[in-house]
Amino acid sequence: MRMARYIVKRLLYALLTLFALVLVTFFLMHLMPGDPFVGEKARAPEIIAAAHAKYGLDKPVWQQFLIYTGNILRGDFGESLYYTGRNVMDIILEAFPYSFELGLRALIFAVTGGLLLGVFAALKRGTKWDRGAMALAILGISVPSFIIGYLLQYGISIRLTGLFKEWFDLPRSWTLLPVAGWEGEAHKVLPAFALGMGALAAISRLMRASMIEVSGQDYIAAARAKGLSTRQIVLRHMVRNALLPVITVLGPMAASILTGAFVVENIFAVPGLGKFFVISVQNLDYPMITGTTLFYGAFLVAATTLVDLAYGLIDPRIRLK
Amino acid sequence: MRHRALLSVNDLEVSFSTRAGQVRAVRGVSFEIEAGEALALVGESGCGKSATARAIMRLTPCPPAQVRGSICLGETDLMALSERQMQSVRGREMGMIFQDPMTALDPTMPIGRQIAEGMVKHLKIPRGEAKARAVELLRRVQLPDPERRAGQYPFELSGGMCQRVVIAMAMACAPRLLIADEPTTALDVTIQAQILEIMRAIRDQSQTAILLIAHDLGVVAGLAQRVAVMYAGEVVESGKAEDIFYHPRHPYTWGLLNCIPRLDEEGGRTLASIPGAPPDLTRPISGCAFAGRCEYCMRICRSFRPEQTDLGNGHTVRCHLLHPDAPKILGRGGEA
Repeated sequence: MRMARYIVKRLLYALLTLFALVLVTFFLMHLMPGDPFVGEKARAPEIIAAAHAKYGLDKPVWQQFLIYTGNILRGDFGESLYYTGRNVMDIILEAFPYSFELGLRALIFAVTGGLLLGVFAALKRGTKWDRGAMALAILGISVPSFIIGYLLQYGISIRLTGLFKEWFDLPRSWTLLPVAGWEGEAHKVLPAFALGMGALAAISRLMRASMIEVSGQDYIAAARAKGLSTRQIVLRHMVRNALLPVITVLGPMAASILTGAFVVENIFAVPGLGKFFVISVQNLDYPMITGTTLFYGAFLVAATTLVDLAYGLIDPRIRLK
Repeated sequence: MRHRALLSVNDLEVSFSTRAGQVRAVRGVSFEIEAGEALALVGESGCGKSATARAIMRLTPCPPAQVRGSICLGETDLMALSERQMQSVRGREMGMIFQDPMTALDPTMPIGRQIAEGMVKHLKIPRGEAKARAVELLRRVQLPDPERRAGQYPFELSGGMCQRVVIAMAMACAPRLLIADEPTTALDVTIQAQILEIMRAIRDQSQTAILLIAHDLGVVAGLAQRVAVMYAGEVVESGKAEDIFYHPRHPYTWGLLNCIPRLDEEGGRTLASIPGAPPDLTRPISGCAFAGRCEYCMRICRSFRPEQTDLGNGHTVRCHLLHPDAPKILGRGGEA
């Protein structure tokens, strides 16, 4: 009962957030200079006026907003102005699964890698292993994903592949991992790595700090006083408590990885949603801009809500209150 | 063969490497505890009593700390054990009660499981049986409604209840020695008495030896048969509780006893305190460590460390005032 009320409350907040998002995006987008139908090709003013009339762009902006909100509530996201005749939602639903799969792979890689690295560094605190792991983490945070992407392509798909061919006399078409594309499993390794690297580094640093904080707690001394082995103490008492602060950042992190992979998608030629988002802004494709923004926004809100619920699973203090 | 005490600590030294230098937290402490006996280690904050307790459990992280001396539990020399062997002694042969019960329990694990954990490990019993025994232990420390409580988390319990859980946790495998590091400091006065009563019952029923760490002599009086007063990392006076309370011979012990507020006193007196602060333990101490704060300080106190004087009946004092040539302080000590 209490849980149901909590969920309903969260849903209402989510709707309010999304409404504010549409409102701000809609008016900001109309404040941008330019016109979707005035491009490099010269068009007759009559044709532009006709296009405006067709898409309702001749009406005042507030009226357009009301019509748009009404349409969204009926589930109609409109037609793209750039990809003429194609429904915005159809485009999103076609492209998003690629972004989602890439994001999910990157996220799994980042979370498992980050937690393991963080726990490892914390247990080896002060040794060269710890310093090495944290130097790696600083690199992961400060080097942008597109540089990591290019380095991986050049280092692994070109140089290392070349060396392997030389040593083992492999066929010309053989590659260790493909440079780009999105066909088989092999294609998905490098982009997921490039996309997840930053999050992995951030998680590992956070997990390390959190583990060190927990290791100084009285209940860890009490666990040692019980005669538990280091392994039992780490697995049963330390990791679970150390996870709590890490989980809070996981929501927004997950949403940004699952949706915001435009650069990495571009480098590795992944047919995801990122490209459509950027092109829509460049071309003032109004329905596409609001459609993708709303989609991303809904995703972010859903991810943070899920994380809040997951938090309760791990921390009884939240679950039972 | 010579009789061996349950716990004998000999010339224990604990020092920590810090940025300010070596801190000599414990400087040559020796004492013994017999089975079924409670010894209280008393002194103000920073005198090395908790460091002594943790060193006995070998919970002191080395490095940065260094522990020297000998610690024997029965016939076993604890200092000679490997970390793995030590794990089978902790919790099994000796249990520890912590100062703040609210932080000594893992907030994300039901209390029953936290108590059962040690039994599963040491007594090699199945988890179900360990849980049943945990409920029994909770009943023994007088936690109301133990079946339901065993499944609850620490945040659902009050501080006093948590301390009962911590005691049950330390007692889980019926250890021979219980180390209680200020077990009542974080609790209400009314709860304090109940917790001490439980510890007294444990000592008498199962012949468990107790090392009680306290800064409050009032807490000590009800539980300990013997008292060792610590100052700046060493034991300055030790003996039977009656001797320490009624015939104290060290000026520091006098000061400590003076600090206890009394009910039968006329009102209006400000609470007594010992002026000054303990010496800096990073510097070598010449003479008596208490000299700087001692009302009766003599010239010799600043340059020579006093020897331990044995007054008989297990009462030992480290003070130059006990030298036959020293001036007698009227109204104090045995002659009073």
